[in-house]
Amino acid sequence: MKKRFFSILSATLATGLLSVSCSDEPKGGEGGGVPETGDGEYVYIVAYASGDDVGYLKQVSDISQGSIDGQTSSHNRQEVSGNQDYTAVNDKYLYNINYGSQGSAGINTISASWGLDAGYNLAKRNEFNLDGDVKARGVVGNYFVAATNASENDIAYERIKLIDTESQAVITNHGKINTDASNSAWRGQVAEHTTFSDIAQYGDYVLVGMTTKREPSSKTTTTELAFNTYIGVFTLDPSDSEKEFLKFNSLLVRNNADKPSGQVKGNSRSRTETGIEPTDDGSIYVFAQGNISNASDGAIPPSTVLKLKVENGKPTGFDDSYYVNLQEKSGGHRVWRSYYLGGTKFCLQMFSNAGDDVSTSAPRTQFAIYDAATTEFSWVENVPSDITDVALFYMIEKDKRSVTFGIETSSMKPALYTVSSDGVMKRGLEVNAETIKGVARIKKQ
Amino acid sequence: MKHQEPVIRFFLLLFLTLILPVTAFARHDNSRITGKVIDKPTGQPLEYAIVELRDKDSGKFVASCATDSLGKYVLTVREPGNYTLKASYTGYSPMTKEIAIEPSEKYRLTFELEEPSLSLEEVVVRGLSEGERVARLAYNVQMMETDKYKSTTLDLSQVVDKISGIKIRETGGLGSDINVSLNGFSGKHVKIFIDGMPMDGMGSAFGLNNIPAGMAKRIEVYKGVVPIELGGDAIGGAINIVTDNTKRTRINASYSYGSFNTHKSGALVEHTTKKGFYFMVNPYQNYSDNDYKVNAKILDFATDNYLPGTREVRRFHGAYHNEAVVLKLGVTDKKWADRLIFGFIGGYEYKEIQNASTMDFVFGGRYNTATTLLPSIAYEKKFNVLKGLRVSLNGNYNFGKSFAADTVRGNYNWLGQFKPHDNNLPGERSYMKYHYRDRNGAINLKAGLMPAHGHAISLSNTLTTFSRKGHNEVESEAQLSDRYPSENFKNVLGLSYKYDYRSVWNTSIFVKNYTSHVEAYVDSDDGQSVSHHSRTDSYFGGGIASTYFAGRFVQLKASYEHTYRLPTSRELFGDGDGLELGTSDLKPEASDNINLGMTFSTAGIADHQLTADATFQYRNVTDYIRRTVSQTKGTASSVNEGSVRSLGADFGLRYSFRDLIHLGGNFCYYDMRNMTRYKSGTNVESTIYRDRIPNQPYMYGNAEAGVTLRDVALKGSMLDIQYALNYIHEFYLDWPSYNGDSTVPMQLSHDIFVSYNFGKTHNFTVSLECRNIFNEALYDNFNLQKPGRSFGIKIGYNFSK
Repeated sequence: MKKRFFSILSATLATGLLSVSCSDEPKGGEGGGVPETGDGEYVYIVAYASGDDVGYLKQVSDISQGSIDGQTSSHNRQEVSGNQDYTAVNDKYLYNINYGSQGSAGINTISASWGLDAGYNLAKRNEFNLDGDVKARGVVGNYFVAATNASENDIAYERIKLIDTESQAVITNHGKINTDASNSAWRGQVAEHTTFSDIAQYGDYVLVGMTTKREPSSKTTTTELAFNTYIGVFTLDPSDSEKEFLKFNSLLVRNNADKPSGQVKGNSRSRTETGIEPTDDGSIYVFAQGNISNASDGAIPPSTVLKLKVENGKPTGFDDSYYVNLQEKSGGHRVWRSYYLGGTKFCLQMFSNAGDDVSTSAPRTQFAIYDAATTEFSWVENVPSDITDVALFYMIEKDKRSVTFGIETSSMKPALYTVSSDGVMKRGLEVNAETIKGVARIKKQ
Repeated sequence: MKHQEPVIRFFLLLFLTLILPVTAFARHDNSRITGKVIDKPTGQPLEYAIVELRDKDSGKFVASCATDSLGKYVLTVREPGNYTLKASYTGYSPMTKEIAIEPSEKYRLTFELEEPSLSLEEVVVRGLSEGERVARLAYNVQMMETDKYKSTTLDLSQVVDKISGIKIRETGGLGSDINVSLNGFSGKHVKIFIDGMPMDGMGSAFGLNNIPAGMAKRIEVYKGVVPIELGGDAIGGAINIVTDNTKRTRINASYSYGSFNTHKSGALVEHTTKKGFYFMVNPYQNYSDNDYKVNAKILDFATDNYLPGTREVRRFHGAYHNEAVVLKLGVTDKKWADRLIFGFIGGYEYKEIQNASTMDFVFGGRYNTATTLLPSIAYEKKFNVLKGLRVSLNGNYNFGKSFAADTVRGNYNWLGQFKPHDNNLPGERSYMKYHYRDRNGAINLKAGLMPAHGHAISLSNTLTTFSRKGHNEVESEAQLSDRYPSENFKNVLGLSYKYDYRSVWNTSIFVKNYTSHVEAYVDSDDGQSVSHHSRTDSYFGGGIASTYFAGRFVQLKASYEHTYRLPTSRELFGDGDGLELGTSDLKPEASDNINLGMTFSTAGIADHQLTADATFQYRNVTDYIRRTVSQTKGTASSVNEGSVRSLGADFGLRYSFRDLIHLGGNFCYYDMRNMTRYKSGTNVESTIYRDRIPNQPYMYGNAEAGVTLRDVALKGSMLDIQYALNYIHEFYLDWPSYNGDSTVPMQLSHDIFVSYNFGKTHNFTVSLECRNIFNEALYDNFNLQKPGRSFGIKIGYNFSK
């Protein structure tokens, strides 16, 4: 009897162990048959994550259809640790900025960049330190420019980071532009302290969206100037001995009570990169999301589209003849971000519900097409009704008049979705992964 | 019984073959004690009576055995001297006889036991050694007597690491955090007690990894149900350190020096007078530079680019020291108290912080200090009012203070190079001079009653409190969260009933109530708003545990429990230095546990002793609390994972031949899987559904071998050589189904310990050790690198009577 008991116990233990130890095989198949490189002009880099602090990149030749399995190492998979905050540079390089410190003087973190090797395979170029936060960012020529608001001794300033993407040199981690109301180069023009909210190149100039705040602290965001629109005009000087690197030229200010507009602020807290949109015909449109209200009375301006005047290649002011109240056109929806598709078309990411305002938790899962030439506004069709997340990292293909997002829904696996200027969203490459982070393309050189 | 004999013979033959070369040199001038244990009124033999031999002067355990079906026993004694021989049997009064042993002599002693007027529990307690009594519980418990480690430089955590089914993962060298893995669970899932009191609040100066091994008498590991007497909430099991309360005069002192400029010293003096007055003082200190080599990424400050790959560098900011003194004062064997002891632990700790929760974040100036001021009281009394009524009260309160500093105006790389901040702002990570006081209290009240023969009822209530308040002196104005304390009260009330059928079968059923209250002010929006968080939870759990002694050699155990684990103060509020962050809205974990265990032991019947044990466990956990590390911030925090299922087993095998050699090993495999099927708020199946929980070793084992040689060079001397092998299978840092590059590689390390006792009385000991002989790269659960090869020497003096 006892022998029998031991036999049963041993068999049970052995069976249990065998059954559990054989289940580590990767799940799911590769599916889709999506090639890594293909014959096309570009290689697409799909970013996704396992859900924790580990992300992955895979290269594919086509994102319009098919699926890839994020759990396998196929498609030249690369691993990315830490925060995944990607920026594509000139269809040439992919940067991930791993930042996490908040309010500190800076802590060394490992960021990285990738490009294509001679065989058109994605390869890590370098790992570098870009300590501290990165909020506003933009690409100016070969330079990646990033900015974060900070304060020191109750003086507000913008901390500038500058990378030469060709030489891979981190030119500065600690550029410093005084943005304090009383000490900045534009003092007297703005009654409060300022913070950078978008960086865009226009010819020889760098245009910077600015928001205002009553206190110098980086944690303060309240203002009484919500109905003013500010665009700073700078030039880039990578060898600036004063270590500002962005040299102030002029400030464009708009305040019109009859045609109210707000500040360029398409962010909740971090990552601001849309709003100032130069177009191929030399125009500059400003999507003033206006997603901040006056602290005293809670008054909030509408989301609008404005246009800058350009004289001799230099932005000199706001074009008063161009004013579009997007909130009226959309039936009460505010604008979250803007994406230039080429020509005069823009894709707008909108707050999902009319009346939703600046709350960071308000969903922003609706999309629209705006034609700057005709001021026509139309909702994008075929948008899933159950979107749970739209990744911040996006890819604009002006040659295709489209923008592509990584989108998660409550009923289907994560996938890339492309919005074309014809106003239709199309589900593309599906990624079997816990989350999707977006996509970039790199041109074969 | 006869069915088991071939099995025993097989194992004996196997091990005899293995150790033949060694045993050939064994001396054979032993003495033998034989005899019988019988029921005095009837003269009938008593089977399974325990006969135990101890040194008369020191009380040190020498040998024990159980009687056969004829009531016969046989004990072999190597050393001549004066001994006490005690026979005990359930339901009978034990009997003790003194015996003087001469070399190569044979002795015969018969014990005639009779039933006393005392309660069953008292008989059991007196009849069996404490360790044996614990082993006979229905709970799945494993024990280790720590005698053999007293001459080593090991601390308690390193001794616990040798127990089957346990893996201690230190995050670094001396003074680093430790992480206990048991039953496939780790971290705070495993509760640690000292003499039945939770160690959570005793301060870091008094932790497993800085208490010398010599302080403990034995270590109990509960792999399944945790008895209500321990008064804690645990899902992954519990470890109870039992300190040595033997009534005797003892003096010992030791000093050790080792690699990385590690110095450890300690002394202990204790005495119990004939009138029952007891005092003990135990000061000790530890110091280490912790400057061992690690492989790390190097940031080139000139370019702000990282050099390709990793380089071997020496740690430069890991110094640690702590000094502590443990005082105990009290009385024993009084009418009003069997034991009343007032204690005090005073300790100071200084710890340089070389890196954050991952190796990618290196510091050169951060440090923490902590003081422990912990008064305690322990009271025990048996009452004659009701049969078997026993009451005990244990309490302690820690008035300790801590300080965390981050003031350097720049950053370091792993080469130790310093780069000032361009903006000259202070703080390597976050500028702070944070003074905080963590008030930890614990009080445990236990009562036991024996209403009838074989029946026992126990009641236990443990209340633990935590309160943190502090201020960062670099902040211009007090923060809201500084003005109001973060507080946590936890109460675990348990009631159990135990039925014991003639020590052949016993079963306990129990119910527990768990109550937790949390008060916190939470910076929920990056400093832009601080919200008040208050939460009270109350749950009922319960279960059953049973054990059956199948013959002389086999014990079977089975238990089921529905239990809860309440988040710890560290999980709720962090550790105060900004690297371990709190999650104040953590929910308690709930778990259904099933445990099966079997022990086979021939202990006490012959020179050859074989013990084999196997445990099997199943856990179904909801709101599993998992510790995660941020590769972006270098911080760690805890989150509720959802549903987790664990299935696993561990096996242990030990063999010893007299006290000459011992061999042993254990192996564990645990399969812990994420069972949350759908991504939150969706109908999409999660890609990590059924995936193994990362950051936890799931297959590991130890092996050890030792030989003890006597009269080497000096008459009466003893040479002890021990070898240990530690194995941990490769495990993932990310979800394994992603098959990523982030893994902790397989780790296999070897240690050797050699100690030599001088003279007959063995008062002086010199020991040498080499740990991680082949300088393997060893890591913790989150890839923090641990020390490589290290050497140590220890000189100790021990007097006991």
